[in-house]
Amino acid sequence: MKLSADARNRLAAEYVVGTQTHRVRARIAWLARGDVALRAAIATWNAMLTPLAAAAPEVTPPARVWRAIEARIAGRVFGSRPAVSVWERLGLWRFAAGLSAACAVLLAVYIQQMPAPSPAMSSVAVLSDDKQQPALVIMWPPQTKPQNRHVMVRALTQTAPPEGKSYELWMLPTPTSKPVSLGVIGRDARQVIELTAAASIMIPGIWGMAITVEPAGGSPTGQPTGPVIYSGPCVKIG
Amino acid sequence: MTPEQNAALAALLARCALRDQRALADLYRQTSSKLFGVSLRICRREDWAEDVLQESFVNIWKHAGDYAAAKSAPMTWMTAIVRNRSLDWLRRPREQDGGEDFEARAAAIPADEPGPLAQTLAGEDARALATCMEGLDSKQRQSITLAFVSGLSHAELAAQLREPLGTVKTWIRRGLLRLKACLEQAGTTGA
Repeated sequence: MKLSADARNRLAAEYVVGTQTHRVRARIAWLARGDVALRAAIATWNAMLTPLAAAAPEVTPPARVWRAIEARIAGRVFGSRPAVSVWERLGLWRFAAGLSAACAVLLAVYIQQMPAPSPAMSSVAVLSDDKQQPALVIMWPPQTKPQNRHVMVRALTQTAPPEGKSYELWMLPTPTSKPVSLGVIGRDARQVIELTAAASIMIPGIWGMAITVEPAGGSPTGQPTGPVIYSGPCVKIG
Repeated sequence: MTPEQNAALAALLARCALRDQRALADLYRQTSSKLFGVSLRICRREDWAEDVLQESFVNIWKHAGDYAAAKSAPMTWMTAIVRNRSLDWLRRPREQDGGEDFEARAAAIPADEPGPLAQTLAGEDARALATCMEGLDSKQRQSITLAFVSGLSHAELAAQLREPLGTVKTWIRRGLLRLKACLEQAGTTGA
């Protein structure tokens, strides 16, 4: 069913103000799932009217509500096994102790030699191979404005994935959390990878980064499927 | 909500998307009183509002990963989840007639609209909304407020205001259109 702009706006308004019957509400929710414009209209009305909700006085809920929520979410993680074991298996734990001496020296030299980039960088991760040889430096500016939503990748050595494979960059919010893909990296020595809005919110507090070998174009599952080839912790520099 | 508060709540939602249970606990601590108030006002029964709040937070936990794509303020996103749950719960088709519930609810509906909006609504967007609400006819303002804040359906509004159903529907529809035009002029939509 194709809605006219007027009909869409009226449905969205009445859905948000909440006066319709259960059946009509369910029908609109169903339509919205396949209709981006209807979802956007609902979001616009929500943004407009939600301040009205402040007219309802705040009431502290009884403690049993949180206990029930906690019981329902406890131990729920994505996938069939806890995320931590994936990374334990991949061997990233070796880097948990912090920067290796070689890394720290290299980082100091690298930062000194680097022409002051614009915008100024706030964090850096030096990614090393399993012999602790640094291979790539990832840097990013403070995520204070939309034009800063990117990371810069500098290759320190010539490295390329095997034929038919891609390197994929991941960030690791904590040593035990699910990795989040930042995308596939190319073969150039200097690259810029754009961040999604969600990644931009997350990146200031992340713990580490890693690169895995994935099928060409990146992991088909959204999670690492191949071996970790480079990894390292993140350090704030600004 | 200040931009700092919004950013802090958005960061908690991002951590929830990564299955950080402490982030959900923080989020609950900071927002549950407000959201329970919203649900209680619509459900008008504590036990129902408690169930709604529980379902809503389980949903927030499950769908926190979708938050960034929603492009709205965190409280707007969470309030919409709580209001939708409350309304769905309230309007759900029931096994029995549910006449008793309806009677009890109707008796509990406050006759007046909630207190002066300008006093309860803080923040820039809210001030613009309050100003535009003041510009509506009193009937339009009353029916929109009773519908949005107290969760009254068209039929309940007609009964409450002792007006024909068609009249109430028209008030709401025209009132919402005027409100939208006024807010667009004030340049606050989508903010």
